[in-house]
This record gives sequence, C-alpha cells and structure tokens, in this order.
Amino acid sequence: MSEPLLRVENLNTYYGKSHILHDVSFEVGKGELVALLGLNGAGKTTTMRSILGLTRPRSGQVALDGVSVAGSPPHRIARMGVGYVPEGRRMFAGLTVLENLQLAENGRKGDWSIERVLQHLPKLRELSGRKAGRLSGGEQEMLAIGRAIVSNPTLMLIDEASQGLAPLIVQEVYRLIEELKQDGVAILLVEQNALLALKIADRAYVMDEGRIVYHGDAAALLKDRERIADLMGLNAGELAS
Amino acid sequence: MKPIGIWGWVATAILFVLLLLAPQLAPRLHLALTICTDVLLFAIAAMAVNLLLGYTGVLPFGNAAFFGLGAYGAGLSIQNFHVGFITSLVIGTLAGVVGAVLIGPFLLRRRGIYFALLMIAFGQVFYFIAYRFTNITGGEDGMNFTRPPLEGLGIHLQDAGFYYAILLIFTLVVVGFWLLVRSPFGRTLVAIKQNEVRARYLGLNTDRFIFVALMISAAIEGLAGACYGLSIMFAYPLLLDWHQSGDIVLMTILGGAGTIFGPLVGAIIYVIGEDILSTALPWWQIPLGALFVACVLGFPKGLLGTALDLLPGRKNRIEPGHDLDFAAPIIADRETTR
Repeated sequence: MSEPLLRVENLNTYYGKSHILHDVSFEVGKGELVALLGLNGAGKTTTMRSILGLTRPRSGQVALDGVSVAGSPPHRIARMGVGYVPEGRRMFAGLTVLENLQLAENGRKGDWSIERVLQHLPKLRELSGRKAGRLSGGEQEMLAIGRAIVSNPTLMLIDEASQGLAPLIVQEVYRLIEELKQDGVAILLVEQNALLALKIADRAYVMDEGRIVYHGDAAALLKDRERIADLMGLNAGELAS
Repeated sequence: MKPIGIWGWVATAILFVLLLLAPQLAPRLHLALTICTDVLLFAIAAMAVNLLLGYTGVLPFGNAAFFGLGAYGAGLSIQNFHVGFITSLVIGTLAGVVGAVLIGPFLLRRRGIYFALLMIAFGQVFYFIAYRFTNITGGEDGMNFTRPPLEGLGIHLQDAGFYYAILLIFTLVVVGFWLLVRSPFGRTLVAIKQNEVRARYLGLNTDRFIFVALMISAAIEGLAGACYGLSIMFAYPLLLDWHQSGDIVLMTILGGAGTIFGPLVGAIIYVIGEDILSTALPWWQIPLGALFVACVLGFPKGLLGTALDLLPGRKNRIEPGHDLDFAAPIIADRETTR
C-alpha cells in the first residue's frame, strides 16, 4: 500500500502537566474522507491542533505524504497543503469576506481560485464586501470552508462543521464537504454528531479520553447504532438525529 | 476598513487647512511656531508606534531607540560629512531601519509584554552607547550641529519654511500610511493583530510580516527623529531613552491607536498640553498623567477612536481587536507563539 496522505503515529500531547493524547495513531489516505468521532473532551480538537503544529506534541510522528512535520511551525504545515476549518469558524471579524479569502489565498494558485469558490458559494459573492463579523453562523461556516479551500489543500481538517447551525444549513455545509471529497481532497472530519459524519465518511475512528478506542468502516458502523451509542457513551435514543 | 465617507474627507481637508495656516494662527493663540513643528514631528513618531500597536498588535515600548538613532544619524552625517537637508533625513531614516534590523530578530521571539520589555532593554543599549562613546556622540552633553541647506537650492529653511518642510513630510507619511494599511500587507497586519495563531494556520509566516512592519515603523520613527534633530539642531542620549518611548506610546494611545489621525490628536494634546501646563504649573505631569489614566480607563480606543464611534452609522463598527480561538488553550498558545 502506498504512503497515506496523513499518518499520525503514537502521538502524545500535553497541556502543561496534563497528558491529553495517549499514543494516538491513525491515517487518512489520498482523497479519503475520515471521520474522527468522540464526545466533548475526548481529544479530537487537540489531535487536530497537534497535526497543525498549533500545539507541539511531546512525542510521536505526524507525516504528510511521507514527510515528517512534527515540530514544524503552523504556517509551514499549512503551506504543505493542509487547510483548517476551526471549531466555531473563527473568521477575521474586522476584515471583509473577500479580504478573508485573499488572506488565505496568499499567492497560492491552484485549481481553487477565489472566483471558483465564489461560484460554488454564491451567497458569499453577494456578501463579499461585508465584514466577516456580521455574517450569520452558517455564512461564517461557508466562509471558513471557503477560506480553507482557496489555499488549495490536499488535506482539509474540519472541526465541528455542524456545531450551532440550523439543520438546513448543516445539510448545505455537508453537501459542500461531499463536493470537496469528489474533487479529490482528503478530509479529516471531526464531529460530535456521529450519525451525520458517518453518512458521508469512508472510515471512522472514535476517540475517548485521549485514546483511539475504535477504528472501522463508516458504513458498517452506521448500521450498528448500539455500537455507536456504546462507543460514544450515549443511550441509543440520544443518537436519533 | 470602512470608506471614510464624505464627512471624513471634509474633516481631513479642514485639518490640513488649519495645519497650513498654523504659522499665521499660532501667534494669536500665544503658541510658538516651534511647538507646532514639534506637534507634527511627534505625530510622525506616534504614527510609527501606531503601525505596530494599532495595526499589528505588538507594543513597541522602545521605539525611541529608532527616534534617537534618526536624530544621531542626521546629526553625525551633518557634522562629519556636511550632507544637505534631505540627505541628512534619509540617513536618519536609514539609521532607524538599521536599528530595527539589528534588534528585530531577537524581538520576534516574543510577543505581548515580553516583546515590549525586550524592546525597552534593547533601546537602553542604544542609550548607553550614545552615553558612553563620548568622543563620537558627545556623551551626556549631546552634540550640536547646524541645520544644513536644502540640496541644489542652497536655501536654509528657517521658522515657517522649516515648518512647511515638516508639514510636507507629515503629509507624505500620512498618505503613505493610509495606502499601507489598506494594502493587502496592511490587511494582513490587522489579521495578525486580531489573531496571530489563526493567521499562522492559514499559512502566513507572521514573524516575517511583523519584522517588515517593525522595519517600516523604525523608518518612520527614524525620519521623525531626524526631523527633530534638525528642528532643535541637537542630539542627546535622552532621545533614545525609554522615557521618550513612553511619551510617544502615550501620545498614540491618548489620540487613538488604530486610527489614521489618532497619533496627531495625541501629539497635539501632549505637546501643547505640556507647553501650556509646564509654564503654569511646576507639577505639570500630574494633570497629563491623570488624563492618560482617564483615557485608558474611560476611552480605551483613545480620544479620536471614541469620537469616531460616536458618529452616526459607525456605532456597530467591528473593531479589528484581539480575540481567541475557542480551541486554543492558553498554555498551548504560549507554546506555539514561540
């Protein structure tokens, strides 16, 4: 098997003295959509931050296309083709929609130009002169994803894309994620809403207390609701979405 | 950034008419023209601070090092090489840039209060160099020099002529600053001010942007210092001192960091306030200090920043202030800001 796009091996990350990630290992193949599931506090976001270099792992390996990046500064990792859509969207509120996109493009040309992103997200074109701080939650999520796309990533890390959004908007966001996948972009999708993510994912990992506790085929897991409920520490009833 | 609109242009036009008429108006207000020149000089110096503090989010609490280097650069080049007016200003500007190139790589390793403290420390190094190397700088006594004639024309700029030369420089700096903060580079600085971590994961080498901003700021600061040297025809170590830095930072905050004309407003209040109060009261620093405290507590955006917010239609202005990522524990940020 060829080298996966992202290979994380025995990652151990600490915040001060607290040991957050315990030997976390997983892979994302080229063009694959992998869901990383788990409850609040399971370590999903810390895993993403460790991959991006925002939090330096104490030990373990992160390799992008076979090149080790653990310990590299975030801007270098981003320039190697990793796009990040952070939890809670996090735009530059004082800049306009267009300026947010230009900032992310930053001279990197590729298949995805700002023009093409705006074609896919016509709503953003209408709002391109507006300050990002004045967008609705759904619009901000679109912009956050658009911002990650214009950097032409080969791997997108998407953190809690559905959080705080109305169901209709969530559908729209997820449609966009599927489009990206069809375009050949590999995606690591972090979600608390397991059923939502499993519907579009190829494979899934489940985290609990900083460890990977399950790994398997997403479609198979989706059929086994009791298993999901068990892994996520929920009652089966609570899963209904 | 919001287009400033018709009233913004009108206010700017009125401001420049007043600045043009200052040599006529000042005597009626019992102000010396040199005070008006000082206002413009320190407004330029405070704009240099504003670029870093108001638009990039780092506090240059050692900016006077560049200011003093500008004054010494101009003075030493006049004394030793008999250069002309414009050349001395160019050399003073470059002296500031050289200072930034020397200390920048060290400053960039830190952010926030550590950046400010480290910059004070490096600034004091320049102060002690000027203080110690008596045979070059005149040490504590400082160094006198004459204001050289304008290149080509051989004109000696005096009084109103000198004021207008400084006003021209001030205008050029304002226009350059305005273009800079609207450029993609300037917008990137605002993004870094708002959230540096976020800018980094978008692939921006924020260290490099801050370094360039520091050099531009040092160039402006050096230019202001060179103008000041030519104004008083004197350079002395206290120009490099952290007290001087503090005064310039104070003007910036008083007027409003993050606005184009805030530094000018701060310089007007500080320089004229100092002039009036210091002749009237022996303890003139106290009311000025009280104003500063009131400003920081009551108008954190400065006098101009607060006034602009009160204008209709700007109430809900979104500030390029600092904010944090949800998923960014403070400890983690400390590890990554490096």
